[in-house]
Amino acid sequence: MEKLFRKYLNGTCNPDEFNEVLNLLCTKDNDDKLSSLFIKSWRDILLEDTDARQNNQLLDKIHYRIALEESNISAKRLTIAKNLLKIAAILIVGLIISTVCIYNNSKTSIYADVVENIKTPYGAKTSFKLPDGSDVWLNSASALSYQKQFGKIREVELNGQAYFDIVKDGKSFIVKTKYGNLEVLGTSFDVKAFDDDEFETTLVEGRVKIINIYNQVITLNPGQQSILNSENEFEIKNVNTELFTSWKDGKLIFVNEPFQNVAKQLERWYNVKIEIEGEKMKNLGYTGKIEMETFSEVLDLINITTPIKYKFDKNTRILKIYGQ
Amino acid sequence: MSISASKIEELIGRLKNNDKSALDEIFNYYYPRLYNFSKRILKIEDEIDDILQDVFLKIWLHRGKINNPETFNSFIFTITKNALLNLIRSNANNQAFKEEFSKRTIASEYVTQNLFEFEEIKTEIDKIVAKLSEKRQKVFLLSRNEGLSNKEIAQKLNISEKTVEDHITHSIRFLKKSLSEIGILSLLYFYLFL
Repeated sequence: MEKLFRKYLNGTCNPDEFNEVLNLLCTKDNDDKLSSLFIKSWRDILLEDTDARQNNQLLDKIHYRIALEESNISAKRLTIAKNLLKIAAILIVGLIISTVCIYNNSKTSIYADVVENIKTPYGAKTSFKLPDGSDVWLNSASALSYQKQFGKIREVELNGQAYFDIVKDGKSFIVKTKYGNLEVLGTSFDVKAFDDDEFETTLVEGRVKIINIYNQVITLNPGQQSILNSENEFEIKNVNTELFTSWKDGKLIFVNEPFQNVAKQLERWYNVKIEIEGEKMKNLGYTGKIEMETFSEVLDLINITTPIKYKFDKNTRILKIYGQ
Repeated sequence: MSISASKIEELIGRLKNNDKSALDEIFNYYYPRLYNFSKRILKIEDEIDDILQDVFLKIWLHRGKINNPETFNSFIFTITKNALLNLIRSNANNQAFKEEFSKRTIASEYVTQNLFEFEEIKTEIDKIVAKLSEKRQKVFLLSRNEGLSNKEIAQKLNISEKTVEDHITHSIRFLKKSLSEIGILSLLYFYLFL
């Protein structure tokens, strides 16, 4: 057997011997014997001079997986682990893209007056500090641009969703969106300004002034939310702000939210395309909390809590949802 | 260049203190070695990095259970070996895998259009090998019959590894030429795998 194994390792079997080796390897009863044969080869290799083959890309992947494991996303089942990897890959791409953007721009910053452009693709989020020390969380599929050095006013341009924690420094802070502008001094608030969604501002702390493109002005107090409706009029209501800002901590919370809206958030969050069949399904109220779960876990969760069925095509990343 | 037990002990200590740079050092030392080991077992290189990614992730996740250099070495060996065996076992019935795996495990003089001709070839090969020069024959038989590696043959016969390689290459060339002359190995294969 040792001779046969040597031939296998050196790749000098004849066809009969190959079949014998394959049989040997595939028989569980041989595990102990195989171990001792393998370990001999391993010891030989440990003693050999090895070429300095390195693979930093792989090392990076390992660190990302460790980071994911440690941020409490535990892979409960093997199938989930596979999905987790895919999502991890998406998040990583997002992080890399954002870092690259920041890095590239900072390289050219010596030429003054440079605009920072930070973009997150579908399935990725990022958080960073603005030049004045304010914190920004940028949600999936969003973009924020601003001057590298703020002038008399602090001004940023947003497409998508961001949560701002603005420091007070006596100067106004302005968020420009395609629907209108927001003006604050020092506050925490969330702005949603996607092309395919309603323009929504949720104020957590302080005060915020909102001006739409028709120069209508409103002011929000903490705990209030404004939505610009399809007639370009502001609607203001009191809300539990946590529901609208929890995404920045890796949570999505919904209370009786039409499934259509839930799907929109999941699309951005998990980089999938969701197709809902039937009007009834679209308006079905969904209540639940999704906390850093993998996409397949989320599907399981929704499957349990709502009367739906779904089909997911891994290649096109299209999820079809229909009623039971 | 081998790593000392005391160095491994130091690395284990740092791992236990959640020092990720210790994992980097472990990776730098073990990755090339585990790669060579995996290549020798699995032959097919495409899957090796995926397997090793899991191995290093496991080293980190189970760092609390690693106590001394001896258990550390056997831990690394065991998880890698199990992963390799599992992959071979779960693919043993996969035709594409089997073909690639066999191509790299079977000696090149047997690479023909189909392996049904094997019995016939084997007898012919024995006849042709007998015609090789004494030295070449000795080297070839140590490789094919005894299963020794080129390095081991070189040590045994007190010649250089390069000489061993030359002998084997020439023997294979002679074999293929003779086989194609008697019509067993097609000329196409003769030129393809010369």
